[in-house]
Amino acid sequence: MIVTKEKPLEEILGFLMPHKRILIVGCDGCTQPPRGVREAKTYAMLVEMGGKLKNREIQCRTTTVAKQCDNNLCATTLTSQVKDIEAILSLACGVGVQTLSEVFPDIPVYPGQNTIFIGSQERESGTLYEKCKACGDCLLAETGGVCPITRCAKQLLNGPCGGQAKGKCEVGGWKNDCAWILIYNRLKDKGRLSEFTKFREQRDFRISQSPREINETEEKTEETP
Amino acid sequence: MKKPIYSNLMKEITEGKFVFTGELEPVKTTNLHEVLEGAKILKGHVVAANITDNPTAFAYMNALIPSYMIQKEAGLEAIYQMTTRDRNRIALTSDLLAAGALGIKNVLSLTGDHTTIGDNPQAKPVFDLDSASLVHLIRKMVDETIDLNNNKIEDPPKFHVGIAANPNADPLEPEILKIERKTKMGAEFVQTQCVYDIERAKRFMETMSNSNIPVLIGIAPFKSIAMMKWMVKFVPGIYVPDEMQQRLLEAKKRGGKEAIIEENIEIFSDLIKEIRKTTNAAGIHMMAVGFEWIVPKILEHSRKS
Amino acid sequence: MNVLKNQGVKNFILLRLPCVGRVSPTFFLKALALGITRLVVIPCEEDYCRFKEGSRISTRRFLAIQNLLHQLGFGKDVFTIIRKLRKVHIDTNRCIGCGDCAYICPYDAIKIVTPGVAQINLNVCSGCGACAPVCPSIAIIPEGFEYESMSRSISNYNSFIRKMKSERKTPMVLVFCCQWSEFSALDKNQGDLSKDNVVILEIPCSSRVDSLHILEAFYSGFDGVLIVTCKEGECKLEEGNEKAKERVLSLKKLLAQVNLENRLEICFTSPKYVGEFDTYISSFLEKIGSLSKNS
Repeated sequence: MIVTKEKPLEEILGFLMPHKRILIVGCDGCTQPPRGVREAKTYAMLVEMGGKLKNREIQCRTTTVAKQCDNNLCATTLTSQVKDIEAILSLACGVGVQTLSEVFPDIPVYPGQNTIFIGSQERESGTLYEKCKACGDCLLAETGGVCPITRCAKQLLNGPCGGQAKGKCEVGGWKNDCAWILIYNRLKDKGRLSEFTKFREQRDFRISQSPREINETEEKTEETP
Repeated sequence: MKKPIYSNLMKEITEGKFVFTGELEPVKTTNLHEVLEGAKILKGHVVAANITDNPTAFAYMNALIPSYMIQKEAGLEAIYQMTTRDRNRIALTSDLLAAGALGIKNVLSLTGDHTTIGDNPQAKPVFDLDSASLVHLIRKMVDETIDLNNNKIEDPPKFHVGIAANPNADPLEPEILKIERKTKMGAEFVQTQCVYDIERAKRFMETMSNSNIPVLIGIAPFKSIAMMKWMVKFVPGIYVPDEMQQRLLEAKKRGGKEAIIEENIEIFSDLIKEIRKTTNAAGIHMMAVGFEWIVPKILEHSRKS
Repeated sequence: MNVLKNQGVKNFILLRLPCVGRVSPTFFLKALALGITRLVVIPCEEDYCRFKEGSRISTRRFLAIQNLLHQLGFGKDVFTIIRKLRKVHIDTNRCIGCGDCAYICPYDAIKIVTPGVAQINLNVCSGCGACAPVCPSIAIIPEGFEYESMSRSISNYNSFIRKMKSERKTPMVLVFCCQWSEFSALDKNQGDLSKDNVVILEIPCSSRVDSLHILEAFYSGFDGVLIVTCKEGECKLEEGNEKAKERVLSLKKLLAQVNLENRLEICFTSPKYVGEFDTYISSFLEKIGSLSKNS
């Protein structure tokens, strides 16, 4: 899922100051931690109380969308709710914010979150870990299921580097695991060290050249002669 | 097929001589004086000297210029260090061409310390290539006269390419496998991180016995007790035997700075002797940045029996 | 209270107890002697007693009383026992299948089933409500402690608070009280506890404490919120007090952004320590009072 972190209220109030009637839109999609209606209600109260501290009367209404990255869902869910709204505060990832801006070009849409990474949550510790960089050229088959593009600070294809000791990485203060030692251990356990020793050629960064787009209909037409 | 030899370093290694290399560090200055003075001191005692490329991600003078200058002004062959941290494959290719034009003969391929541990930790790290693919690039330029994307190079450069290794690495096996990987890609020599314990050097050389890449064991004398303590405390994996630490501490008590120097000369010339006697290392890489004058003393002492 | 309605009871006096085992048989007889016409006891289901078999032991006692009353010539329904446990329901229309409730449930009563909605096993649910405050879509309905009804009762104080403040200028405090940790009402004469600037809301377990309700309390004008929960290791359910503590800590970070972090506190108490709760309340009131003066 896409992991986001709340922007400081101070920053949000900064965007919202010129406006009076705000719609706070949660997202029930993949945002993690979930930014649904509960989060929207929380923000509504914080924004109104924070506005009061600055002698601003801000009125917030709250709603949520099944997934804000779907322009059709956004339009059908929200069109009736934005009539007297001066601005939207989106609690989705950057994708949701942009989708809303496109669906409602006349209403300013502000981000309530900073979008951090694609990751997973370890329930026991509640920690969210970055797991995928959407590099467009998945290596996981030969790296024992550990992604060096995401989990190695240098994104090395032929690691580990000299910055590891006892399997920990110097970047970030010896807290994080060295991805390449993880890979080495995994492959060693499976008797596949030849895959570790193998030289991996430099990546083709054209694959991940932004902006990227996929149009399945076009692809299908291209395939049919 | 016998590979052509371009540099004195490679010539001596191939001839089976026990070689010594040194190390010089250009810093945050436009003044080349210190590097050139260092080079003049090392000249005649080492066959070549590394010029560091912004070590620990500190933004210092570009290594290529001093590499060229020590060859020109001091007559000391350079081992031009290149990290992949700050330049993408275009800049690396470009700098390699420039190095070729300036008569550089040896390149040490390094991944480079991460930007976040440097003096501009906010910088965007590049790492377009890593040390293995930089070896690959250099081999393609030298052997096939093409760049990574197979574009033709007119008047290709003539380099020997070396790599770094860490005998202190824990776990050690991936480190060895990594050397194997880079050797397969065409690396021609290894310079190691500093070793203080002869047993480590032996163990490392034994694990390396299957590969036939020449290894220069890194030796870094202690400029001061403070430096020793810092190394022990902060450099991961570094092991300085208690006895060695004790000898230096006692030397300081006995006779201050000068006694430390004397003790250094004793300790490290002995270590070099041991390495020559008990391992099949091809040489020693002397890292005494900022006190290069100790290198001739240690080397001379190590020749005495 | 639907339970009583179903029994056809219209007017009643409600007496809440930590455990039905606490009541002596003479109490019932005295009540009848006072002119009360009907007694309804609502104990937990036997397997769910939070104490030591309180439900089972007192059931035996109740049956004896019932028998006695019958022999004394009272009608059959003068003394009724209704086993009841408030449980949790899930509004699957709102559920987004995130799994947060399934993870937090200490009884493993919730599963996420295809097509990605939570399903609760009511045979296992003990009604602690720990799942409700973690639900991002407020899809969990703890019987008797529903989000909306609690929310309504908090915001209903709005005008009362305004009145109190304009008349008396004393700070208003809302207390979320775990039903197992605080029973001082039992030890005191009626009315003594309720200082009128302290509002007490009972919750089934402090793990039901919902940060939205706390925010709503501040939003409605309360000057301070106190969470009362059991002492460490004494949660009658499953580490509900720990969960509440974590929730309070993370909510304080949010509250700091509107300068309210010092107005929320959690205290750990137990019915064992008579008077402790009052001490907490007094010192909290004092603290909130001085904060209000400064701001």
